Amino acid sequence: MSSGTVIGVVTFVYLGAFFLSIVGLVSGKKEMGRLVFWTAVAGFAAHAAGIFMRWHESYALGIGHVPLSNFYESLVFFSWSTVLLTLVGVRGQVRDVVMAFILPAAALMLGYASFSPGVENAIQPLIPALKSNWLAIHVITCFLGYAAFFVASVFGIVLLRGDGDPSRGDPAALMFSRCVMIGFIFFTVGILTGSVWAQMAWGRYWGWDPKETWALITWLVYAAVIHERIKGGRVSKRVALFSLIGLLSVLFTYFGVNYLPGLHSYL
Amino acid sequence: MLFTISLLCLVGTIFPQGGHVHGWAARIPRLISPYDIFHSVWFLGAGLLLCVNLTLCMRKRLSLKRRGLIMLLLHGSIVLIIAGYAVGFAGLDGYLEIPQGSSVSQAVLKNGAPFDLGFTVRCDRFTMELYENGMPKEFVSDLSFLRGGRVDGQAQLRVNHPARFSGISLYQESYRQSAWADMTLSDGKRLMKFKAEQGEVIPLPSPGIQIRVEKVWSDLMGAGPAVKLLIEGPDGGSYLWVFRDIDTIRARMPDLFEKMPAFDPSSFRPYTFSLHRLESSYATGIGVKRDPGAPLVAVGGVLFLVSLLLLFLAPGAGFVPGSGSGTAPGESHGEKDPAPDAQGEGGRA
Repeated sequence: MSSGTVIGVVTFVYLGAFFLSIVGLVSGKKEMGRLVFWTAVAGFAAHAAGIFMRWHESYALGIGHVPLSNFYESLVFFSWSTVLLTLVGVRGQVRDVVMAFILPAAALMLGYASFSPGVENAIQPLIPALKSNWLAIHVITCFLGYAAFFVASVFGIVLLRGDGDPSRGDPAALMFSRCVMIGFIFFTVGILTGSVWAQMAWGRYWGWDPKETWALITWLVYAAVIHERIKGGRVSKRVALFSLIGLLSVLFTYFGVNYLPGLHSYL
Repeated sequence: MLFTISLLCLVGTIFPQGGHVHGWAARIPRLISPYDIFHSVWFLGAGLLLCVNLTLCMRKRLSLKRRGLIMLLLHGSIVLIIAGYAVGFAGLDGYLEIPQGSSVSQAVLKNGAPFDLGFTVRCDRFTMELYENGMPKEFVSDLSFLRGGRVDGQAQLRVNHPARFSGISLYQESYRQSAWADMTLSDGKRLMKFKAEQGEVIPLPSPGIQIRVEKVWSDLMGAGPAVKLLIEGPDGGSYLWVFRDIDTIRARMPDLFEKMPAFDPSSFRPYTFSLHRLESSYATGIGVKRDPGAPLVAVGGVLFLVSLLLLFLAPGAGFVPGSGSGTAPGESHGEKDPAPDAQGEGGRA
């Protein structure tokens, strides 16, 4: 079985888990939550296996490299990171709601990667610019950052209903704050490693390439989210709204920038 | 402040940056132009304001309490990064193009001005490796650095593997391949020799007719060396493809000239073109840089990351369980304000 088949199957496992989660939420059956969780865990394990299989396949082709070098591979990893953070970091009652948002998004990313004719899914050798040890660390940290911001925005939607106060033990507000902060740390590491790599490859750590500029815009928006959150001491509607603007910025940094000319055309 | 800078950045990705502009846009002074936003007074002003803002915030919270110190470090490191970036403007940012076997001792700066390196760089060899599918695998320049006519150092340059000589860093950036062909032209009586290099224009003995060399291939679709010519006369132009191995190709496809008259070297009467030998050479494209601000930026980046981690782990910041707002789900306590010393932090940023 090829990694592509595994990833295709995982797409449907996530969709199945999403269906179960909707049934659980509508019927109010709490025990469905466990079933959704374990289905998602199974899908996640297969997803991880798919990534390792693709890695292995690239070595069999004699052009071995970590599978993080084109749009297809980045979509697969983004989807995986989002599910990882949800499974590991989200606890309690609120998990059922978060799952209902994350699972279809993860399936959509995999489906787009696997089935869209516009996404090239063949394993390609690395061009000279990508042949660097910084590739893996830069891409992994950036996408873990994106994924944490994504999960935070789901909490943001939940918290738009009303203020969440972590000091009163509101789990959604606490998890929102942690996701934003973890995302900010990963994304900062992603930007820093990217600039070290750019310095090695092109002799400039920052070149105002559209991807770099949009990464800075995203970083600034989340800096604003954190300032608002700390200033008020709670997750107000305003903070939640900022995080949704942040998500739009993340999506544009990832997808939209490809329509602007720049050096990150491969991702 | 953060949103203002974000908006300026956004403008920078909408308008093409740093290139040549035409029409009304060219009349905007460069210092306020949206086409060079990152060097405009708007952006530099916003950066300066951010530094002032951060410095004032830091002064306000200048306390010896642990969190105060972390905040000081966190915001101070951003000022350090911006300062390092500004220092970088005094650095060197240029480009060298060295044909294989040649030497160059002047770089071309971004504004087109020449810059004396203080030494000479010779490209001993440029190699381009390809994967089986034709994608580039590696670009390698073997360089020698000369001072006073003597070799003072050598380096092998690859993408992602820069070299350093005399305080200047060199980066493999690009390459250029040039090819030329030895050709002859016969009108049945006389033989005329010429060298065909892309872009060259050669007048023919017939008045008003000239040939323009459109392209030179070392191998055109597996059929060997070839040259595409545009024959321009008073009645317009016509294309002609001249192959070195035309006899071999015709042996395989006897009806070639009937199908593709433009491949017939005698189709433009009374002339017959022949291609004898093809030579090609590479020139390597090398970036030359010196950035005195880079170490400051690096220190700023590391300090920022360290203080960000400290802040995340600090009790009272509201991110980890413990004191302050970082309460684990289900726990509750009476503290209303989770981070009293965080009031007004970067509030107007």
